[in-house]
Amino acid sequence: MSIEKKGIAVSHGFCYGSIVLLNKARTIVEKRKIKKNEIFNEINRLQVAVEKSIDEVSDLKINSDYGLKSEHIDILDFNILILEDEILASEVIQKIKNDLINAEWALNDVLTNKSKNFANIKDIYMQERLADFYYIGERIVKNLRGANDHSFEIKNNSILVAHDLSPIDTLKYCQNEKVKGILTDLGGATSHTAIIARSLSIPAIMSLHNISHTLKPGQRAYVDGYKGIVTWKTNKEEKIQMESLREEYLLLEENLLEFSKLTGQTNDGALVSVKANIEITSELNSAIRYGAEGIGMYRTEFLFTSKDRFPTEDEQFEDYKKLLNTNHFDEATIRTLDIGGDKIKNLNIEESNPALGLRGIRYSLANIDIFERQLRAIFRVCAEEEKKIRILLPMISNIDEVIKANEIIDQTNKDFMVSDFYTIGVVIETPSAAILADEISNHVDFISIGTNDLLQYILAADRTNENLSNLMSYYQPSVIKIIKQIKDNVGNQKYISICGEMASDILSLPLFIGLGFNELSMNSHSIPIIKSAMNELSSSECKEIVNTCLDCKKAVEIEEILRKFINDKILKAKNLMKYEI
Amino acid sequence: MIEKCKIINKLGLHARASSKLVQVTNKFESEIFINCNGIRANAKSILGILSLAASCGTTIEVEAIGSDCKEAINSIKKVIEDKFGEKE
Repeated sequence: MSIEKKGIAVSHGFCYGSIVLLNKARTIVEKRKIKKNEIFNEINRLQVAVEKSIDEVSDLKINSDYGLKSEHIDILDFNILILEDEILASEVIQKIKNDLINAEWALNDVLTNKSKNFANIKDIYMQERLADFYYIGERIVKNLRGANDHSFEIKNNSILVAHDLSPIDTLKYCQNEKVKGILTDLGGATSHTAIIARSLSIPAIMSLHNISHTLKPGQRAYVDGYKGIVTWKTNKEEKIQMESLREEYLLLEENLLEFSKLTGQTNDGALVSVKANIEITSELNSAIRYGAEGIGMYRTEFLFTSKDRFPTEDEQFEDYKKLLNTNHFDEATIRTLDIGGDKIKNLNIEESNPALGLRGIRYSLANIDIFERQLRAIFRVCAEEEKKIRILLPMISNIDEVIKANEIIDQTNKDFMVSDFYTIGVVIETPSAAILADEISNHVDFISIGTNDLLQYILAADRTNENLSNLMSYYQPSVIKIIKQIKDNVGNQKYISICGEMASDILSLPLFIGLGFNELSMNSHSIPIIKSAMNELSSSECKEIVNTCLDCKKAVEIEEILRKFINDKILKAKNLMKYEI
Repeated sequence: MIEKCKIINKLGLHARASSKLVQVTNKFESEIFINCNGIRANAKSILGILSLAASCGTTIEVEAIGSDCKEAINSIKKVIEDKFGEKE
């Protein structure tokens, strides 16, 4: 009988391969007492292991096969300096001598204490480097044990299994196409590693708890990145079942690619542009593959937080340029930094409630230099590519913010004179902005409704709180009424889109069509199904359904009506709807 | 030899800036320390410098003891004034 384990599917795909254990969970350092005459030997072991670790990291730096970028080099330099650090070495040696313990334990002890000290420093750059301590410790411990990289030499059809996988390791191991799947104990859909796995189209499952202890190297396993299930110890019959599952997924992908060629329009000719939300520019490939009609929202947070400092204007310029020089898109939407006190601790702001804190446009207006730098990079791309960039401002709550942001944008543009190549829009995601949507829209070129935050703020419910999952429904009458109200307030004069997870919800699709939205922007993988469903709906039927739903008093009733409607109308994409994509 | 110096780069002595600083201090024979926020750290140790958590606007005291202390302090001041090569 097979064994299976469910985690969080963070990157779609299906594969069968053999397990490569990348690193053991961090806790398994053994404590061993040593005798006095072993001290010298133990210190010698430590020094050899540290030397070897320095060599390995330096090799990594020199070996450009991994396509390392300057920010990666910075991180490697930092790692090398810690390895060479006199204080670290002397404290570990002191510990070996005083406590008469093995080098592994002494090192672990010193690093744990150091990281505790640094954990108290309220600086996000420092916090992010904390993880480096673990990776450094692990590397030395591995070398102390005499194990080396050959023990997990990566062969074809490998599945990487790790307690936690750093973004650097993900890039390093996964760029040679030998790695077919990724499984980790920790992590979730928004982790940097998940984003990289998606951009490389490698199926990945995270939050599998102790999978790195459960699976053995060389063992064969199936990774189902659609359902988030890893299966091993399959017998003959089960293997046949798994192979038919693979066929099913291949068919699914074929269908998706077929649907991706469709135009985003209803069967009575109403056009609704279907675009992609992306978090890193290497996701552009999958956006193109799945038929995105544009980039509806490029979130710039990854760019800003993936390094130990904010990106320079040049770095942003190089990154944003990629959006437009693919030749696939004539325009792209860049959302300005939507980051807050929860992520940037060097602001010296203690926020008890970051979701309601200094974030989005509030942060940009309080840090005009950072905002201007982002705008300058955008305008340089406009000037060079002569294509349009839509600038999307997040977390607007009143007119003052829109006017102030517009002033800064105008002022910054004076150095570039590219007003023909950009438009300005706002994300309506606060209840305040929803109420003021008509006035706000007078000051901008387009409007986008950010459903993730809007739902959270309208319902006063944290979307990650499992106890509130009944309340956090797209079909709450208040949610549908507010979306209708925003659309009515904005009117037909301004372009209006939906961005956020709700845009990819097939049951909500008739509402968006019926209300007359111009654009839906979603994760790339959802685009084909939404396009296919859209092509089977008519805008007149959708208008009727909107009215029916607006008369309902309960979320469950609305959901029921929409489900029946979709089940009746959608034929082509029906067999794909059971997959969580 | 002791001199005061103000951290003026936006992000303060974070990981990358500390790396740059240690790469400078390690070129000199002198013993070099940085005093800041009541902590005295060995300026040739990245862990020492990180433990200062010196943010933008902090005034630090650079102390060098040895034959090349003057050159050391000048070089350190220069890299701090250059904002560790950061653009702003």
